[in-house]
Amino acid sequence: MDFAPLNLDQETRLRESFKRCSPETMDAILRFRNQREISSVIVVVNGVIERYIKLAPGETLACKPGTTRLGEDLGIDSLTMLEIVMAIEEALDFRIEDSEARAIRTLGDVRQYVDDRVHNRPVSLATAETYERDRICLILPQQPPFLFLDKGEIRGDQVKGTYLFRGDESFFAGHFRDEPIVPASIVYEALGQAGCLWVLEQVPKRLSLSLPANHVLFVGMDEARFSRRAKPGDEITLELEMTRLRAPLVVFNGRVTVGGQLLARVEGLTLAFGDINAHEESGAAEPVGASTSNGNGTHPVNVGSPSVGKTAPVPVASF
Amino acid sequence: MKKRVVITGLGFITSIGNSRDEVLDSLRHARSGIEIFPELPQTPGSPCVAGTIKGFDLSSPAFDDWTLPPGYTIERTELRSMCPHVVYAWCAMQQAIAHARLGPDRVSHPRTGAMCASGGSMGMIYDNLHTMVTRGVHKCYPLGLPAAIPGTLNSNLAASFKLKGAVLGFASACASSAHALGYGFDQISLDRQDIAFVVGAEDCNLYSILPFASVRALSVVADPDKTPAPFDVKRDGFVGTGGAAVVVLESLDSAQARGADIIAEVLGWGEAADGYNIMAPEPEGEGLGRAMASALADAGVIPDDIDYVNAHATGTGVGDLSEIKAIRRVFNGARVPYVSSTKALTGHGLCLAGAMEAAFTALALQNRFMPISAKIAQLDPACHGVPVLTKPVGEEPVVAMSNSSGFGGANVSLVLKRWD
Repeated sequence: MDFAPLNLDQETRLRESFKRCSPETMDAILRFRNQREISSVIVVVNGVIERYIKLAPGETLACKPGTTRLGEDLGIDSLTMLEIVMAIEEALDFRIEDSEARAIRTLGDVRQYVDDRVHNRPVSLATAETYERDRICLILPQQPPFLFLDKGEIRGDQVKGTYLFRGDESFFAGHFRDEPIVPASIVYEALGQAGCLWVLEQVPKRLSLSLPANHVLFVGMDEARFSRRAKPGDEITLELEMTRLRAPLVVFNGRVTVGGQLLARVEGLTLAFGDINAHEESGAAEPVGASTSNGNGTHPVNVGSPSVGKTAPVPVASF
Repeated sequence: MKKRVVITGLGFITSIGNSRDEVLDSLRHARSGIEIFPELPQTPGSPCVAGTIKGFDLSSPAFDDWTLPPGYTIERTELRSMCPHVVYAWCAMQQAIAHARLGPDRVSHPRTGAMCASGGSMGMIYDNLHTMVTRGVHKCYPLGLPAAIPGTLNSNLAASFKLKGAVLGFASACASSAHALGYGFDQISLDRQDIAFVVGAEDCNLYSILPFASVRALSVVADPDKTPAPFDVKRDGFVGTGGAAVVVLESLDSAQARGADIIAEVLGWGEAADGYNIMAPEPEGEGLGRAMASALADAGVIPDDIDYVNAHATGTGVGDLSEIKAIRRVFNGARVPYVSSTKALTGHGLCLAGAMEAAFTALALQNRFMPISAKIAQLDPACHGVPVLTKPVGEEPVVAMSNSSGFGGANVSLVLKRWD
C-alpha cells in the first residue's frame, strides 16, 4: 500500500486534535501513520474510545470483555459514536462507512472490525451469513424429525429463520385429531433451535471458545406469549436478538410471525452452552448482564452458588 | 379577565457582573464593564474595546477546552451542542431558577415556557462552513450546525432544562428579547402559561462584534472609560457586548400561591415598526414614539406616571437623537421622565439588550434608584427638554419604561412598576 509519512504540519495538526488522548495513543497514531505498524491500530482505537468515556482509575478498554456493549455498558450514545468514528478516521486516515459503524455494538465487534480492516479482509460485521437446511443439519444437534428450521440467517446479534409446517409432522395426528394445530411448545422449540444456531456459530468466534459437544441447553424463559395458532401449510418466521452473552449463558428476545402477523413473543429466552455436565450438577443459574451501563463493574455469574446446596439437576430438555 | 404579570427571578452573565448582586453594585456606582478586547485587531481607527464577559474562556473552537467560573458544570453530553451564548444563558438560567425558587417540576412543566432571543453564533457558523468548504462536510462536527443557528438558544435550553411549555425564539434584531418579553407577558396575561423564562443572549467575540464595523456603527475610541457615550455630543458609535440575561415572568396568582418573592410588576408593553430603512432609525423616532404610546395605553398609565426611561440609545449619532425626539413628543405637555442609557456601562448586547435592560430596570425599581447615563463629557444640546441623568438623583422611581429598537425599524417599549 502506498503511503507517505507525516509531514510536520500534519503531525502538528494530529497532536492538536488528539491532545486529550493519552501519550501512548498519540505515539500509536504516529507509528501507524509513519510506519504502518499494524499492532498500533487497536491501541489507537482503544485510546480514542477511552477519551470519550469515563473509566475507573486503572481500567482500560483492552481488559474489558468483547461482550461489553458500547451503548448500554460504556454509555456511548449515537452522537458520541459519531465523534469516535470521526476521530478514528482522522487518526488513521481511513474512512469508516456509516453502515459499518452502525453494526459495531460491542468491544468484540470493534476488535473484529479492526482486525478485518488491518488485514484487508472484507468487513464481516455488517454482512449476514445464510444457512440452508443441509448446512443447518451439520451444525445443530437437533435432527429430523425434530428439526424445525429450514433456513437461517445470522447478522451480528440477530438470527432469523423460517420453517414450513408441511402437515406430515407426527404430532399433528394427536394435536388435534379433528383440527391439526401446531403446538405452542413446537413453536418455542423452533425459536430455541434458531437460538441454538446462533450460539454454535457466534459464541466460539466472540468468546474465543470451542464448543466440542454441540449441545445447547434450555435454561428458561422470562415471558412467553402466544397470539394466534399456526396450522399445517403455515410458514413461520423466527427472529431472535441476543441481549446478553456471558459464558455459559446467552439470553435472547424473540418473536414468531406467520404471514406478517405476530404468532408468539418471548423474552429472556436463556440457553446454556459449554460444559453441559457442570451445568446439570450445579443447577439452574440466573443470567446476569456483563456490566451495568454505569460501568460499576462486572457481576460474577452465579453458576452453582454453593450456599444453596445440591439442587435437582436441570431437566435435560435440550434444544 | 387578564392576569397580572410579575417578575419573580433574574439571572445575569453580563459585562458588569455575573450575578444580581454584582450587577446591582455596578449600576449603582456606574461601574463600566468595557475594556480593551484583544480579540479585536488593535489598530487605530478600528474598534478596540468591548463589554467583555469575565470568568469564562470560550474562545477555542473545541468546546472541550472551554472553562467556566467555579460553580457551573455542564455535562459534556449537553455542552457539545452549545455555542458560547448558550453557555452564558445556561448559567443565567441557573441563577434565575434559584432566585425564583422554582423546583425542577415547575421548570419542566406544560405551563412553563421560554421566550428566547439570540442572533445565533456567527463564530460557530463560520467555523463549520469553513471546515465544510476546506475539508469536506464529513469533517464537520455533527452538532456544529444545531449549536450555531439562530434558535440554538431555545432548543438547547428546552433540552437541558426539559422545558415543556411554549418554547420559541424571536428575531427583530436589537429589539428581539424585548419582543420576547412582550410575548411572554401576553402568554401569561392571556392565561396560556403561568411562568415564562425570557432569555436574551449573544456571543462575545471577534465574530459577533467586528462585523458591525463594516456598517460603520462601532465606536473607534480606544479608551474604555470614554466609550460608548450615548447622548454625548461627541459620541461615535456603539460598543459590542454579549452574555445572557434571564427574566422570570410569572402570573401574580402563581407567584402569590407559592409565596414567591416579587421583584417588580410588568404593567404592559407596546410595539411599532418605523417602515423606513433597513439600517437607520426613522430620524424623528416615529415608530418608537408609537411603541411608547402604545405601551402606556396597554399598561393603563399616563405619561405623567413614568418616572424613568431606560433608553435604547446605543451611542450612535442618529439613533440616540431619534429616541430623544420620540421621548419629547410622547411626554409633550407632561412631566418628562429621567432618561439614561445603561449601554454606556455594558455596551450594546444586540439581541440580549431588551431582556438585560428590562432586568436592570426591574432591579433599579426594586432598589429604589435610577442608574445614570455614564461617560457623558458634554451632553448633546439636542437633548434639551429631556432630563438625561448625568448624576445620581435622590428620587425613587415607581413606574419605569424600557425601550429597545432594532435594525429595520423594530421598536418595543415595556412598562414596569415597583412592587411594594
